[in-house]
Amino acid sequence: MTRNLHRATFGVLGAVMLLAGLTLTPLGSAARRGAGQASQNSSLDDKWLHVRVESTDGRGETVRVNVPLALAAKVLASIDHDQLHHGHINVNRGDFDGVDLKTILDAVKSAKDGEFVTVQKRDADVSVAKKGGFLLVHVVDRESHGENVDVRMPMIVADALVAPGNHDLDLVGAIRALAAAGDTELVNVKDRENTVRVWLDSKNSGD
Amino acid sequence: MVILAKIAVGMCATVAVGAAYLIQDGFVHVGVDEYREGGTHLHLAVPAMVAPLAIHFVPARHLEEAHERAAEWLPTARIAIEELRKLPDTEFVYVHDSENDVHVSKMGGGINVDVQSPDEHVKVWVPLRAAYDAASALEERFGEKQENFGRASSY
Repeated sequence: MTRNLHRATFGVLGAVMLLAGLTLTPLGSAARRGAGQASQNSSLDDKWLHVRVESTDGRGETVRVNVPLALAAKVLASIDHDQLHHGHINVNRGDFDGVDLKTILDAVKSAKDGEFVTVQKRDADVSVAKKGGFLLVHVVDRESHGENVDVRMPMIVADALVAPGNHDLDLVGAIRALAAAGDTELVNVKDRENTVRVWLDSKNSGD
Repeated sequence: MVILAKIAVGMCATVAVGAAYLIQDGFVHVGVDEYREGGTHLHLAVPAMVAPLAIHFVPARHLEEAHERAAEWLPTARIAIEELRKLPDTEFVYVHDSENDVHVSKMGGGINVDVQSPDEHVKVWVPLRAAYDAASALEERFGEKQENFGRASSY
């Protein structure tokens, strides 16, 4: 009877030690911290930004990058370095190499749909327009590699980027707006040898 | 006889607890294969628990330089790891050309980096849990549990 009691006592002690080892370690605390961080941004959680670069030249380069927007937003929000402060870039001086980006974005934001810039030359066409909630940039370069560039930026991203009442560009706000914009192609560049695509969707792989 | 049995059970329990503690975070896998003659062929599996554990015992003077360089980025690293842990297994970066292949992906709860070149094949797998614990341990070590962690997580 006493022997059985000893065995049972040791068995229980062993089990308790095993459990204590597993729960009192950083694994337990990390899991609890993770569980406590319930996401408040479901629209962000399933959106991925994809970049593809494919080259048909001699080296046959391929680059694929898949970035979850939630990760990008949280990482940017955590950085306080140089001009980046918790997801905001300070543009107080309104200057990006002499270009007042904030004023330009403000002007585009408040403008009606239409073509803002049209340049037609023998070797290149350039157009910048606002249409259907998108800022559209189209470039055709007939010289060199015959480049064709299409940029399609949702205006809600520009809206979010230029937050009213301050002198910052709100990068995290822009990412959240981008997530809300739905599946869309943002950049498409093609020439004789290379293709570059940047797009947004809910898949974690761009294939 | 009963005393021997008690000692044996006690030792078994200690070994079991120690083993559970060591392997709970998995293993950091490092593989290096050089293709040249006499090249290095190194394959290591180190218990990931060792890194955060070791941080607590390294003398402060040896961590000062690392602290100066990394302290600012530790909260960011911790947040990034926490976000990565929520994601499914996926490929983040793939670069391929006629000679090289580089993969950076999340695989089985860890970050996998795989570099294949004509000269060598290098493969590293680090469990995210261990990376998180190591970043947290470094922060705790220098008393830098910063408030911006909570602020950033509210996004």
